[in-house]
Amino acid sequence: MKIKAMAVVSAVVLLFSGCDDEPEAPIPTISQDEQDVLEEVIRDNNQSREDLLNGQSLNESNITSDNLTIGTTLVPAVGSEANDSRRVDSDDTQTLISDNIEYINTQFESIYFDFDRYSIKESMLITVNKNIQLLNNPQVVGKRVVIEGNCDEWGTDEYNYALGLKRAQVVKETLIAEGVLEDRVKVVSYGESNPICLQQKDECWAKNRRVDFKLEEE
Amino acid sequence: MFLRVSALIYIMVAHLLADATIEVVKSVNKLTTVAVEDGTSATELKELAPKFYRLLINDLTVLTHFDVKDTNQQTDFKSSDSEFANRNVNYVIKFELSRDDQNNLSGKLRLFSNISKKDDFVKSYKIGDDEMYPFLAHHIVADINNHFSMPPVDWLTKYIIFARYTEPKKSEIVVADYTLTYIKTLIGNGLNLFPKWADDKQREFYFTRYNGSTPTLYKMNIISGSLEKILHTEGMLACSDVSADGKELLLTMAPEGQPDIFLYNIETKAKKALTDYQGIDVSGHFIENDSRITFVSDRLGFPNIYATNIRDVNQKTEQLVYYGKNNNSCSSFNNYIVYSSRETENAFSSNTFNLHLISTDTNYVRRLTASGINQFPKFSSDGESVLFIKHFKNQSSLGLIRLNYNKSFLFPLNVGKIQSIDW
Repeated sequence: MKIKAMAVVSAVVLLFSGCDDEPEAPIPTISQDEQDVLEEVIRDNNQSREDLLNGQSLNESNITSDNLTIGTTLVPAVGSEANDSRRVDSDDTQTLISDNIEYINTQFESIYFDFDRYSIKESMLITVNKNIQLLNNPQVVGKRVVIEGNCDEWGTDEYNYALGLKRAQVVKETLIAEGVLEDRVKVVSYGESNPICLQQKDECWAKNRRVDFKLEEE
Repeated sequence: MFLRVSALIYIMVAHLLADATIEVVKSVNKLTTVAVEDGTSATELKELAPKFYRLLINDLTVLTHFDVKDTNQQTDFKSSDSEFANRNVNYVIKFELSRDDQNNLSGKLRLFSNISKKDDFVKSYKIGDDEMYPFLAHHIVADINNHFSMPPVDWLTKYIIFARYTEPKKSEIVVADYTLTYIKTLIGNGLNLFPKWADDKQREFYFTRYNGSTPTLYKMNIISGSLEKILHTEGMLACSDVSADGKELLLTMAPEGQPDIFLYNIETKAKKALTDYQGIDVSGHFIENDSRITFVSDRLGFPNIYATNIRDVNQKTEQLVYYGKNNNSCSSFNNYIVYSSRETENAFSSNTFNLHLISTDTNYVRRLTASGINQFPKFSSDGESVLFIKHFKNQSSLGLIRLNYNKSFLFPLNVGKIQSIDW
């Protein structure tokens, strides 16, 4: 008996192809709707892993615990009456040596979270504040930003992506509360797909429970 | 005739002065003995034949109906029946791999009965792609199973589909047989997540692909290669389940930044929010003839399993699980739910997640695993088996639990970190 089903997968084409290391296969007609997908593939193929990780500058002191001492001033909680004190003062505007997006992205700092939590730790508010100042910099203020939520490898599929999204969303809401225009801010969750540390230990997992700021490509 | 002798000894000790009852059950089964013999004579297939033999042995073992003798003998496929009399088994399964005139891989099967002293079942198979030889073995064993009128094992010949990470923000979607011997990448280049079969025929599947930073849901036909864009949204998007008639999807998405579960009609493209909790609601699965869903929510402070009616919005959400510290993934089949649960206080201890089986009809909880990190449980299409991923002592495995037979099997997993899996 001929097993018809056997032909099924062997006939499958590799969509999104174009990568040299993949086997050649007949490519079906791609509609205009899929053009954006193919363009993304081309862009992906031109990026190295180092490029992907670029801009993830990590400040070890930012990731340890809620007991972290933040200079001499404790930053008030989000939503408190003292929030106005954290608004950007023009005198504090950071000087950017370039308006190149990749360079500016390296100036943002990641926001770190506790295990299975999506509220911003008090110790992270100063970092959020720095990023808000950068977003309000005259060289950046006209650009859109993508808030990327990330998780460690614990937890499974959908829950991790939802957790990453909640982390990104709470940061977005903080930005809006601090005066950043809502239509400048987009959120996305990368779940556990975007680790910056691959070792199997607590310190490493803590680095992966984070939100990154990335200016959107124009 | 299929032989199966079972002896059950029940000893019940009842204490007259107390309510406690001790029940000791001893079960002794004598299974039908089978041996597999390789009758391949073609020189070019001598390398493939031992792998084929091993697949047959594994499949027969997983069936749990046979006492499989791993004799690893090579004999003439056309050998006389009298030769089998010397084997101390009830049945001998002989196979021969060869090439037909079109150079297709062929498989011949003889199921010889040492009881009736004759061939009980004979069949020939052909396959167009050599790489798919595992499915040839699976089909042979499924036919043997059906020949003995045992419960169907359709899952044996089904594809599994999964997404695996390749590097940061990159993952590919892969199909495989259930032993992961056959593996083929369908979708690569980019972040491709949450593959889900569109129906039992396994001709189409849904998956999420990130177009830039926008999650987009596609449906792909694996025969024609056609691709259909379903919808896109900001934040996250996952197809968690497909209704029995294939017309409705349970999606987790966050159009307002809030992850909730939506019922999406493929034909009308209408969306209906099924949850509106301000925390996390994910992983919707149809239960009870698609009238209700189970889902994972952190509404009580930690991930747990809940159920709600999707046709009658006036019915309240019900907590289904009262055990475990972190129950963050589940799969359903009719009234049964299997879920992964962290039982230890330490979130990062070595014994972290075990699988449990519950029914929506009772409060009974059956623990399915005992050690390691057991995640991604998925029911087979007949609901009689559960596929899962196990991590234990730096070894990852694909696990298979045969629920009705209290047996589990592990297959080494060397395909990278799995993001999501469907069967």
